[in-house]
Amino acid sequence: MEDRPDLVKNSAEVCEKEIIPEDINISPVDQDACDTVVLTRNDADLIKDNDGNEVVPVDATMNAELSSNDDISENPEPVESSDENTEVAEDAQNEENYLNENNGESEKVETTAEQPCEIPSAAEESENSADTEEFVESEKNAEQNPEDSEESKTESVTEYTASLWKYTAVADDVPDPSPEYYTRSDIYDGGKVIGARVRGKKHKHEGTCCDDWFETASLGDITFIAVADGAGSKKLSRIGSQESCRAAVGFLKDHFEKNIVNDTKIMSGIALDMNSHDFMSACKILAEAVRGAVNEAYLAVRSAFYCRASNEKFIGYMGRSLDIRDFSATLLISVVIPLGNEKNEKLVVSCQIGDGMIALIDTSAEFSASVKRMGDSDSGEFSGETEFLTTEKMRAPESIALKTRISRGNSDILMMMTDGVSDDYFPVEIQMHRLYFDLAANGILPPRKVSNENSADEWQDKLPEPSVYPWVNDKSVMVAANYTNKICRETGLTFENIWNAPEILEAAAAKLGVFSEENAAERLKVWLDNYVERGSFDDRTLVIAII
Amino acid sequence: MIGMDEFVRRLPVYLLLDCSGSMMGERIEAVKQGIRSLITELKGDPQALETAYISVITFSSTAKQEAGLTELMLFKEPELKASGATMFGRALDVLMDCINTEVRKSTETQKGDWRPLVFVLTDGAPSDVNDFKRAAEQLKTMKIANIIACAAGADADTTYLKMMTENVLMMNSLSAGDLAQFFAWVSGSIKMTSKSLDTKPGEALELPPPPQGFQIVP
Repeated sequence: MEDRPDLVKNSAEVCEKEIIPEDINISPVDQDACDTVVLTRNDADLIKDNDGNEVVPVDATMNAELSSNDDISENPEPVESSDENTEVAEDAQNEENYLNENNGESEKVETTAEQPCEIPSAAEESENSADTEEFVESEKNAEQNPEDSEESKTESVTEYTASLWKYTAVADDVPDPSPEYYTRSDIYDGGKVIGARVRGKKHKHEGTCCDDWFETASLGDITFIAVADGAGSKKLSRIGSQESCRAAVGFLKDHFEKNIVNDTKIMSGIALDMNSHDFMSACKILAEAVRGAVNEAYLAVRSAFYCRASNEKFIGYMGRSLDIRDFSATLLISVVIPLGNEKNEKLVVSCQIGDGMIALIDTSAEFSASVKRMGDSDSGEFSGETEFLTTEKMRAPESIALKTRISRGNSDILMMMTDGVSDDYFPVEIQMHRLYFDLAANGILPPRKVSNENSADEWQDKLPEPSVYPWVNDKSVMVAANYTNKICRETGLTFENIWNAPEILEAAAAKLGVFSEENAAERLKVWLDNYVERGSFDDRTLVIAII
Repeated sequence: MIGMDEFVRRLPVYLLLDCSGSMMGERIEAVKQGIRSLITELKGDPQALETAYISVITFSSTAKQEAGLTELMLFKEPELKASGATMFGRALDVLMDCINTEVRKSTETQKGDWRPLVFVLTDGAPSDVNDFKRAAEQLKTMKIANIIACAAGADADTTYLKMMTENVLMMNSLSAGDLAQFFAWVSGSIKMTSKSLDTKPGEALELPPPPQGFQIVP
């Protein structure tokens, strides 16, 4: 697949403005200070996908001037003057063609997922005792059918390791421990937001804290979400993830209240034609606001570090003096602004630093155009080589700008997750549907509404029995793990088939006895806490906004 | 369905073992026993079981991969025999080939493996010095793996090992007890690495303290 096929370079206007930090707080961006309008090269990459939505990674560089007490280096962008508006439109057109070609290709990739193949049911497999000899034996059998071997191998390994994973509570003397679970369900004016975060198997095994965190907030019908994943190798990263989420969401709410929502130029600008200057200007201001949130998050982490640097308890815990990198965490931010127009569009501004995933799903769209990725995990050649908020070069204005994306369209579900979840649903372009299906089958999200009147009942008999596992905390709660994969394997249905016939998911949910969206956040927590994937033992956080 | 959804991020572990003539007898038997203990030990660790994949590359008058990257559950101990020279340079070429072909890189559509971990055990100096120097230089600059080299016994030359990695250990004897300790330490290192898989590139690899009687070569 092409590297970021949805991107095309393009020119656009950039406002030059200043951010003048007061003390350690970044002062609000004042768009009236936008006295110089310049064009910079490659400042905004305008993207239009084939359903007319646009994804704009915005370069919010804007030659920001930062005071000396902020250690972000100033990086002036090359500035050119230009009046290439006509070229903008042309490029957008080329882009559309390019994308259409590419969609064809991604459909080709889809089809490889369709081959049905049989595997022994979980019930049969669970009869195998957790014994190495038998494992080898079953592996030999599996080799007779190469289609099966990878799958059954994977399942037998996880069945074997299931008995080895221990549950260890976090020790009492751990400083600033993070709670075992964090679950939220909020009905905001802009939509419902549910989120859950569970301690990963690895941390449970070792008795260490969950390092993930998330926060949500709203202002009128605007929704703010931040998700962070503390580095597993850093012992205080749980503090970094909490501090940065709180600071980012808090800053955004405050900043929007003071400087954005009452500014008609911005609020009407985002609803204007997407090639217009006013639209781009408004996007720049919003991107700048998100950058402000990233900076604020960093400052909060830095304060958290300073507050503890001379604390004996922490020094004793670390066995050495503290370093800000001990607080390393990723940071994913999204702002959702409903435009209130007749098309019911929403503008989503996202910024992703480090790994994890931000994705938009449009349940009213065609299968191939329904998932939009809002960030790059930006990892290295090998896995797990991610960047963090505390990494200085990540906070450089041009770096944040590259990680900021704006989308306007009809997407109605926003999902933000740490790599504990996104790694299990990789690559996102293909697997994000599966995540959505798994959530719907487990009664966490409603199946999409389509006009066909097919009954879910006829699917009841056709669907395989789900492999269910009782929840560790309450054995009466059953969780279906990997149900979508099982359905596809055993019925030959493709993800696209399921997308087009959501009654299948209704039937799947019925098989599990979960219809209600009540307690969706609680079900999300239970599901996150229980689904099993080989090599997946990280903390898991998933925040879903139904917008 | 292979390759669609069951891709596991593996921690590839390469054991590069000197099987030259000087390793004959009790020493090679101790190495074999060491590998057995290593596998047994790792099989008790769920993280290692789900992620670590082991391969053995030997070098004597030639160099070859005795066992391709195999998951712990299915790993079969290779037949090791000691004889001949120390074609260390050739072994490094084999290692680089193996890493290039076996280790999956992260791409947009593929979940990459974790950075490979390489343990080298030698009791001598390379017979193919020029090849060794070229390959060691290549390995060091490519940074394709975290390499830990151990010089065993008085004849092992640590200056060569330093050419390929900063992480060099020295054990004074090649006694069965020391070799057993070496493999126990390798097992601890694999466990520790599989626990801190998201360490940033370029940061020092965190390894358990070396066993008694082993020195870290600065």
